[in-house]
Amino acid sequence: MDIQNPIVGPRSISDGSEPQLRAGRTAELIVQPAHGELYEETARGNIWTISTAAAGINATTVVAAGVSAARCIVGLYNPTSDTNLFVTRTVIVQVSGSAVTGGYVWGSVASPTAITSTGQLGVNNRTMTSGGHRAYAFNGSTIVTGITTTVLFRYIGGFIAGTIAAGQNATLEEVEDDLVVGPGCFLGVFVAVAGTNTTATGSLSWAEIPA
Amino acid sequence: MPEGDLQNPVVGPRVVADNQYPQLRAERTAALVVGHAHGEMYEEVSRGNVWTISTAAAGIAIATSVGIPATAANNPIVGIYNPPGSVNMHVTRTILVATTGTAVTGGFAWYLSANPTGITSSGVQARNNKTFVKGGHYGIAFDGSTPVTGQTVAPTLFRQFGGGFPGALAAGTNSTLEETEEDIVLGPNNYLGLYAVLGATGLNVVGSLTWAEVPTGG
Repeated sequence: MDIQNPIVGPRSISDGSEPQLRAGRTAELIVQPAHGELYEETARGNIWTISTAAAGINATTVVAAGVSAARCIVGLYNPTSDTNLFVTRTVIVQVSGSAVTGGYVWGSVASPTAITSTGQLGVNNRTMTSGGHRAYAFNGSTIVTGITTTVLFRYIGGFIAGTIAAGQNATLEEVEDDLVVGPGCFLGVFVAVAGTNTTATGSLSWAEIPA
Repeated sequence: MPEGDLQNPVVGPRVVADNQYPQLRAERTAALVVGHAHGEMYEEVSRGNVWTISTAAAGIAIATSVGIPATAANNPIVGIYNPPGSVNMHVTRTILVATTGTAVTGGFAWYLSANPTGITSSGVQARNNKTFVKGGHYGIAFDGSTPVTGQTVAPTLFRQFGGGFPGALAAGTNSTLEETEEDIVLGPNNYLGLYAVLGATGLNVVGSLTWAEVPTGG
């Protein structure tokens, strides 16, 4: 009368009881998440967020994917051999200027060997204090020195090329949870091609998990 | 394990310290209450089983045989062919951004070929979502730069992807379309590609497709 003998269909059971678990009509075990998907990871203090300054980052050539010494809008370098960095959410908002062909992209480097930047401090998503992470996080305030040429990995979103009118929705976001920055890898958010008078703000959240 | 644990779940939350052996938690309709160790896709990606293909930043100019389905050799904007074998390809994310031009009636759609014969393309190499290194995947991927050759029947419309109201797209308009539904699994010997439903003048798009490769065991 327990986990070994689930029974099909719902019942109404009081707290403190020990029910036979519930099965579905195709013989599956019926489950219910206790909390949101990322609660456990966050409550354990394993998630951080890095954000650009509110003024944003000018999308000149230093933030275009495919160049060396790149300044990403937000990004992560994993210098460890024993930790995976799991990207949980990215938000990009273009706050002023012109949209460029190709929009915003993830740019990656598989095995950068000469990154010397240590980046900026992210803020922990539970304690709201800065630091404590192993990743080198970047928020566009400094160049990722020593990086080799990034490659266009995946699109995040974009606009019809040209000036963004006042009041238009200019928010792009990605919440797919399907990017892991493995040991020794770099991943950052860039504009696909250089822009003129294009300003972007952004945030990136990630979890650190033993590899 | 000590007694009173996995075999006897109890209804309702408790507060349990690390290294204790709790009775598992059930809820009031007898379902087992569970928690996620990490995000949904972490295990799949960290095992190195997920890849992404993307068009070049310059984009794909929609024209005859490029970005429009046809019997003859044609380039999907992004697409994937699963050769005969024992791997399922789980499409987890697809994104398309129109960068210039005119929205067309019908917008964009998934097109498929079930058990196609004669596909000879070798496609292009995608990048792994953990290592960012090219290659290592079983699927034959397409990024708009190379055609699907050898098919004998044009792919057929499977599902609408999205689009804009027909006409010129205004500068600065958010033109991002994405699908994250995770409800397409491409079985062995099937082809799936993203196309514009109709031709258009001056329409240029970029896009990406992400998929996981899962052994079928068969």
